[in-house]
Amino acid sequence: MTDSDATALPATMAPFSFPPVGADTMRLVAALMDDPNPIHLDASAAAAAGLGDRTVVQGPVTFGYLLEFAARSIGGMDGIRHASIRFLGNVFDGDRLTCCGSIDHAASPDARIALHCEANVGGRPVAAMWIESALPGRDELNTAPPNNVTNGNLEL
Amino acid sequence: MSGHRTFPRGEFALQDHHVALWSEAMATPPAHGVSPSIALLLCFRGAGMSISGIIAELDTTPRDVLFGEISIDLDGAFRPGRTYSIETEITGIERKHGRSIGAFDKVTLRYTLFDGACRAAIVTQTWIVSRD
Repeated sequence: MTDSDATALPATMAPFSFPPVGADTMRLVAALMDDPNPIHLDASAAAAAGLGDRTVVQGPVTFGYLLEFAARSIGGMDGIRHASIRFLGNVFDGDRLTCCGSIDHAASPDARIALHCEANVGGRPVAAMWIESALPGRDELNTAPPNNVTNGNLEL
Repeated sequence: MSGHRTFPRGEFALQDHHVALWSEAMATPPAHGVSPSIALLLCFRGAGMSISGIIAELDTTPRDVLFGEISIDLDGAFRPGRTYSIETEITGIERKHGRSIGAFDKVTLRYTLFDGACRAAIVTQTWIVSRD
């Protein structure tokens, strides 16, 4: 994709629904992050915290899904230089996230594109995200360090 | 109250299996690259203090903490095989009141991630800490 291809991107991103977020995903993310919060793993802990009778999906999962939604429109994530998310409501075990968004070609003066995406569960807004991304193929995408260094032994 | 606190610098070696598992959890196919959200794994695992320790510093418990906002500014994509060092600081604590959750603290944390001597990213998180 080249700069001129930016104008070929649709202004409105086609909505997309992810499969329901389940306990396996929450357990995996809790293990990867070493997240001690029991509301993601134990429904009784969520209830004790006044959050209802289902476990609560980690915020980073919602963030990750929205980023993946954006990546489908801009050809990947390597060009993303800014991403911010505001959480508007909880996502619970078994919920299906539906994402929608728009691309603002003119929002950035340095040939980056700006995206605004939202996630909802059954029409209930749960998160809003903003992204700035260089278009894949731009020179700045080639400045990352080479992936040829392996060090450290940290395990899960 | 401002509540500014800094923590010792920590580090985390991002390996292939971390990226593979994180990508699986985030529904990200390999062709789409490394999700910037993996910065949150780096922050949680590589801060100079454990998340449990930071939560204890805030005199609360994990179940009373939720994310409010997250912002990531990237200098480049994250790469497996790199060891990232992380500077962590609490930049502000603000007492607020919400209609549904009552009193809470809005805690702002700033993580600066380095790949060697080069800055890789700045991550800002706000945590909502229930105080009722």
